[in-house]
Amino acid sequence: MEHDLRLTVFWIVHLLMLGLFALEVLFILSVWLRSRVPGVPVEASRWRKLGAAVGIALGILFSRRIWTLLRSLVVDGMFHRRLYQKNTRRWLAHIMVFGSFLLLGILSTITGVVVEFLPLFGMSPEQAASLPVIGQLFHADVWWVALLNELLGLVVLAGMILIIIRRYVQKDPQLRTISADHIMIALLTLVAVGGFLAETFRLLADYTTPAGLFAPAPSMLSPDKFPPVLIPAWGPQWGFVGYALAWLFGLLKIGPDVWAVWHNVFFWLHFVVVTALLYYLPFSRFFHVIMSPVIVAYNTMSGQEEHRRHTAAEQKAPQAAA
Amino acid sequence: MSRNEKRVDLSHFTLRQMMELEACTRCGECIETCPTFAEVRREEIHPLQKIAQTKSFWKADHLGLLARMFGIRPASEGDQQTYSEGVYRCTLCGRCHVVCPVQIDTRPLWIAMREQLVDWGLYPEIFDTLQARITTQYNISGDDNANRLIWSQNMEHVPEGLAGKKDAEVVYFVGCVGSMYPRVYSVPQSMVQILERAKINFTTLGGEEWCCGFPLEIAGMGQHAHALARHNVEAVKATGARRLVTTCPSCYHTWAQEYPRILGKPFDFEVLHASEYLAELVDRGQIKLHGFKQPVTYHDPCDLGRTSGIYDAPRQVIQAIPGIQFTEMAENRELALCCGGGGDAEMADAELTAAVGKRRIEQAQETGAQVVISACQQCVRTLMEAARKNRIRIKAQDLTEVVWQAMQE
Repeated sequence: MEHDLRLTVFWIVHLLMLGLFALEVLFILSVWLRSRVPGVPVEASRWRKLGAAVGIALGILFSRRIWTLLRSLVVDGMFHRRLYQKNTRRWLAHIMVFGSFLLLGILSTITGVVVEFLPLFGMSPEQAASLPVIGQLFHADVWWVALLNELLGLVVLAGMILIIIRRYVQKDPQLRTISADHIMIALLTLVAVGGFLAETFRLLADYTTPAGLFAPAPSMLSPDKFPPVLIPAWGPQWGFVGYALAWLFGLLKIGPDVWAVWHNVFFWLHFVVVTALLYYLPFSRFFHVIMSPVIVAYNTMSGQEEHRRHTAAEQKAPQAAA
Repeated sequence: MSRNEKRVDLSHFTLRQMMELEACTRCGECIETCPTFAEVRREEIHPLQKIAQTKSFWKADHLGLLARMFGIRPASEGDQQTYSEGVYRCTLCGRCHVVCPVQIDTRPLWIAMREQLVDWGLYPEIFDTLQARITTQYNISGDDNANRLIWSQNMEHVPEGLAGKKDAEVVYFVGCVGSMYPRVYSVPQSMVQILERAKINFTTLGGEEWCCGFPLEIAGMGQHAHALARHNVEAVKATGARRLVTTCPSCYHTWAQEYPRILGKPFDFEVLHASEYLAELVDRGQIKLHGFKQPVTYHDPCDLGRTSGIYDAPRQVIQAIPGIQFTEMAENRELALCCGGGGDAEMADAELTAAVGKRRIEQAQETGAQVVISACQQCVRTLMEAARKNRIRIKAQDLTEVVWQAMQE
């Protein structure tokens, strides 16, 4: 039960942290509202400005403009079309890190929902794990979940290596490196590397026999942790990097209790680093992760509308003259 | 002014701009395309640094302890002074917007920064003179505004009703540079002759034409432009004209974009740039173009191209000239290099803007053209000066001059 309790604590703390992060962002938003909002006098209250800003947003959401906005949000905000057009290698490095973290975040969130929240509504682990597709996210040792996590982690690492080479080895002249960049790059790399180590020690804690032998078998996990419905899909070896590392460490013949301690250390270290990243986000250049998709979508939409208006006016002018 | 009084006043920025500041990824695309940074490589000039500084300033001033926790320190007087030097050494060309992967609308952002600097009293002193001239003499040169039509004095034939005609269909808004700077008198001279030849019922506002307010707007002193806007709009309305045409892209931008915003409503007359109007006249056959002997290239004025989105009209007019030999410059349309004459940057650092002008005139020379055409008297003036100073044998002419010449040949 120790493992489950730790995950429960993790999710409670994680949600609290997310709440605090939301408060941090709301505080920044409240300061932003000292700026000007179209259609509202500059001296108007922040509530009135917020109302006007929400009105503008709703006006877009419930109009045809939403399709242009969504298209741009996906093409420019998520897939970074402009960067792709500019430089494929830089785009690749960026999308490797951004896209993989995004997907890993989505996978973790679904796992959190399946493991921690569905039981709150009376669903047993067996029932939760039986749900189509998302049920299999109940445990990281389902073969395709292990493989996906592994591949995404590797892609993040490869992307980080490309970023580090460009910034510190090639020293691209258009980059400006400040101390905050070192911190961010270190934190991101730590998240990726720490994720692999946490996974390695989890495998060792779960699959090491009391005699210190690393001998994975689904029967070594309790039915609450790994519901029997998932047994046909069991395949931790698909998480090949973590698995290979676990096998190597397993040669040390250390008992599972020691590995459990190591796992705890790396699990919480991983959590602390991710949380630090989250809190630092609004004060670092990485706030762009949230703001740039919004801005690029909005500005591209506005730019296209402006272009269409202008083209229409240019076409209309000679006709009117005729 | 004490440090406390030099806090960032966020009311200079829009909510969208606050978000844009955070959306900057610091990718550095803007750095290599910035025409003034390319000349002096001073870090405070390039867009990335201006955005980073602005963010740091407002966070230090408004997020208190939270900002300190993340290592954001309040700006010193020196930091603010350096920031001012960077912000005013920008030609507001907007090329950074074009290359920005996030499409940050940079030009209005730089103007908002200037408004903040005016608030802090950290702007080039010469802007006080500019403001005084415009708000008292109603033009940028400080001459008596009654002399607005001085450019027409040496014309062999002055078109009738040049000023104050009541039943005109078109008002030609000349702009301060065309009206007051002898080097480009030929721009309004050509324009009125074209209009007369095309049998257009037009007039100008004469001494009632006031500076459009653009130089104040971009200096960060936009509040002083409101009275000018109201006066000019009333003056045009009084003529009963249906259309306003201007040869100056900065005036055009101000009339088309800024005045409706300042006055809070659209006009009941249409605003056109001369290039659009000339394209229309060519299209209607009201202008007969015969030819132009010298090879030409075209320089996109920043306020006409990137700021107003007009790229095709001037090219249509040029290419309508029979037999013209037209070559594009390597950097054209959205990526056209600035001539250096924009953004009031010349007042802050004339040497710097001259260096930008040199680079642009060299680009024009590389095309093999003997004439670089622009659709802006300020660009023409700057490029002319760059060619003269650098002994480059190429002539800078406004589109109206070329058209008028093509009508004679």
